[in-house]
Amino acid sequence: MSAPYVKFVSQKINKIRWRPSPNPSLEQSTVFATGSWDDEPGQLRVSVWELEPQSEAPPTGDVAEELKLLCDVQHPGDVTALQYLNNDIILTGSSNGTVTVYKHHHRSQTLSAMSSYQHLHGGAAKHHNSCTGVACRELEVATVGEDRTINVLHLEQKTPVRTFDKADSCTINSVAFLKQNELATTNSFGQLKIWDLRQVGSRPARMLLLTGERVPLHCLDKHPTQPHVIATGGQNGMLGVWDLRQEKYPATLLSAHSGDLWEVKFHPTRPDHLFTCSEDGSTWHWDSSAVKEALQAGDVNPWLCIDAAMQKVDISSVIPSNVMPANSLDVAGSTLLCGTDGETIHVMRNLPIK
Amino acid sequence: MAMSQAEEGLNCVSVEWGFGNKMLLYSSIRPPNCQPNTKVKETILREIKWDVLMHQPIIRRLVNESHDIFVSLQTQQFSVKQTGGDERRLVSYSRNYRAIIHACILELQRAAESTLEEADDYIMQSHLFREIDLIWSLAEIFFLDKTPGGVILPKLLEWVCWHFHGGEQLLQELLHSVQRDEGSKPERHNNYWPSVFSFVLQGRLVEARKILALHSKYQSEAFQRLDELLHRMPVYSPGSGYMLQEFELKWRTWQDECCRRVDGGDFSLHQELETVAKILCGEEETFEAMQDLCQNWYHMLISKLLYTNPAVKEFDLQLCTQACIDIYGGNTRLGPVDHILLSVIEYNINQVITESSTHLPLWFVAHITDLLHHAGQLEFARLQYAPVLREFLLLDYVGVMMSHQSLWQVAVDYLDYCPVYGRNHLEIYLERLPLETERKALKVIRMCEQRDLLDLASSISKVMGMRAFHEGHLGTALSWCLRSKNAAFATFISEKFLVDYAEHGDFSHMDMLDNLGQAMLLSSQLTFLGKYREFHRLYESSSFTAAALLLTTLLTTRLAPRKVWLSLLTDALPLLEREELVFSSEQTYELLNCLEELRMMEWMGKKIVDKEKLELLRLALTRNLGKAFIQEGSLN
Repeated sequence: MSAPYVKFVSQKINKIRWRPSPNPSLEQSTVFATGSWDDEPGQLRVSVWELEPQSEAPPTGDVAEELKLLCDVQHPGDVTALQYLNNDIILTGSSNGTVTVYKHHHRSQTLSAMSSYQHLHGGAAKHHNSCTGVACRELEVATVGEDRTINVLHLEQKTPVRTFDKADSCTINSVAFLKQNELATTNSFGQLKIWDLRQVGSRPARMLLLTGERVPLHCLDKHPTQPHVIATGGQNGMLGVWDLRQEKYPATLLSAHSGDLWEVKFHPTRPDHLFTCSEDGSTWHWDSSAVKEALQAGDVNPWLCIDAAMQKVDISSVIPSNVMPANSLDVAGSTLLCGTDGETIHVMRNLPIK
Repeated sequence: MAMSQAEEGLNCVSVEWGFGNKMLLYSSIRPPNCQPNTKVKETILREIKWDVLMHQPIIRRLVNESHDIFVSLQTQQFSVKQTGGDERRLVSYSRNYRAIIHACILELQRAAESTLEEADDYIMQSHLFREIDLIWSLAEIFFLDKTPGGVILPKLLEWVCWHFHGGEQLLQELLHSVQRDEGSKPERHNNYWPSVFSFVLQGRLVEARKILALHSKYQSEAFQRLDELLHRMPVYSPGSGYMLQEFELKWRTWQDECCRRVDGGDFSLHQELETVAKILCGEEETFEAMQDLCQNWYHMLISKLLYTNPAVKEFDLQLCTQACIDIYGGNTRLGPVDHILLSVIEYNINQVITESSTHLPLWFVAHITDLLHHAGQLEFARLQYAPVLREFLLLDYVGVMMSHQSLWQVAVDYLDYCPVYGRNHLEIYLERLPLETERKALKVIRMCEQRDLLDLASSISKVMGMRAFHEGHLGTALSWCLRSKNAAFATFISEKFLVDYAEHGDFSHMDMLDNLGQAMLLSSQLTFLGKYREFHRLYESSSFTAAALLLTTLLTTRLAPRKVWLSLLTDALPLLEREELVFSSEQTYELLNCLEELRMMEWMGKKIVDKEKLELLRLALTRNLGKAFIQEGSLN
């Protein structure tokens, strides 16, 4: 595995996301967006970058590839959530509660705000009005925030379609769409809640929670092919794998990093591979492809039974030299991106993903 | 800057310093007004911030990159004697720092080319960093990269070649014009001889000979003889197996021959060739004539030494500097950079540090002092206050970083390596960081916990919890309260929950209270709250006996605070009214006991609630007692 390419970008990266490529198994995406946080007023921005495609011959140790800034735009407040809707629409959530829709104009290489939902979270409150997560599925968008509210938006309408007002008992940290009409959220009390959009009222359809200490769950990701499997990352660095068909506790809880686990991601086309990044600076690649053969488990998802075959899980540190907190990661094909508080973007190519 | 519209009655401007690059201006009275009745119109506070070099986006890269190098350097151990391996490592760290300075200079130059308005600023900044690199590289030669035998000139020649490219520029122009006019003679060009002289002064004889070869009269005898002299000049290189005395002998022989040739008139037909030869002989007047090409005294110093005393020892260098300075106008013409370079040559680390901290960015002096400290050079120079000096410089640098919104994380790492005052400063800074979002608060708390500042971590959690409480987010407040592990705060929040329950008749955030787990043991109020919820759950799931037991326990162990006793007893009413016996006689006695206590308090003047309720409860309890007697008696 070659050394990661590091670029110092003079902004602390809070979120980093690949632009979806129209044909993921054939074409590796080369463009990605980042959002920054915690900076002087007027310096916070959303930027779009392009990675030069790697040449055929492997680089001789010297940094040959280049990262180029395509365009950027000022953003009101910290970028606390970022998602690509399609090839040129980016959705962001801000620490002042606003959700903005940006369009990336390819010809002029500019980003402009197309529409925004002002103060969606928290209203006029001074604090606790940050939007903390955004999930999208076609034109439908779900947002969650520190005001414990879930908003469901439709991009063609100016006001939210559905609001679960103060539906959770404490700050909601992340959200994802599950099956049709279902949302999953995690909050700061170690709870994973499932919401049914068709139901009236502000109560969750189901609630699952952590065993042991009720630490905040910072992030969640849904298994790409089996939507009843969910991975979460906790504030104590623990990785949780949940089976939604089961009871109320996680199927597996693994002690992983020594700091908050900020982001967890399944590989989109090879879901036997999982990636996590943490406040202690480390980014790990979890490979569970050997678990199935070891357990002869047949059709069971390997993530649900890694407890039994922990030594078969191959965990490797992707970016060993990083010391500053790694806030966000995204993976597409065999390339991993990581954004850190050390004002760097790390690009790791040629990950061993079979 | 004038303060517009002087406020009435106020006659002077006062100032309060903020962090780093901020200050607060306001109008006030001097001497301060002691009379309480004087009305003062509202005063305006003006915050002033000035640009700091380190906060510019391009230079911010430098801050972050050097942070990585700094942290990696601190974890290394170096022996004081600096044996081979250690020295190489130190030099590699120094080179890493210089590499990022170069990257910064390149970025600045690129930025200067792309914008118009700020181009001047960028160019000025790139010059500043060039000066920093000049000084750093010289310091590296003198303090870190020690040459065996102390013969320092080869390294100095490399230094000069690296930083002064006059000769190459002249050559470039020359070659361009030669390419353009095919038939012309190169020697006609203005740059021809200056470029030859430049290369000779820098000791780059191969290039000089190549340029000479372009001359149309190259084949003539005079040229050939000069070429031969240039070719045969002995060059000292440490690993070449030469003994120093051997080299000196050879070199003297060579120079004597040069002088003989010049005196013998070999080059008398060609003025420029004679000049080159005179340089080789080390003639004083010729060097003085070359001052424009050398541009400054240090270049002149090295060039002169090359041709007068190439085996000069490092400590003897300082003896030769004055003569060169005088050629360039004497001591009065020396600028700050010149003074610093002079201090390096004189091995006066103290002076280097003092001058650098006055004239150059703090970044430079903080990092180089730290590097020298690790190399043992500060102790070697017998600076009595060496470790303290290093620490003060680092603390100043931290101040610069803390004045920027986002560089606090980098600054904290630096404070970790300040053994005496670092921790104090860390506490003060971390306490004052603005916390707009929960995410930032979590990061700061984690930093505190890692550094064993547990009180501060708990206090930050409390602040976040109170903030949530004031905005009506009781559940979030509870989650912060559990994080802070502070019993008093937990008691406070539990009471608020109970107030909430009393108002709404139902618990909010039941999902949290139901699942507190071990956390409920943080304070007795919180435990009560959790248990009370459990009672409600038991009741709803119709486990009446268990519910009754729990209720009684809550009252008898006095876990329940007195003010909720009445509502607890009222909760017992439906259980008492049930057909089957839920409360045993002992439990009923306990409940009656509590009722009596409540009545005593009422009688003593502390108003509880209406008497009717008390009577109702007494009735229900006595009836239950009767039931219990009958049932328990008959079981016997």
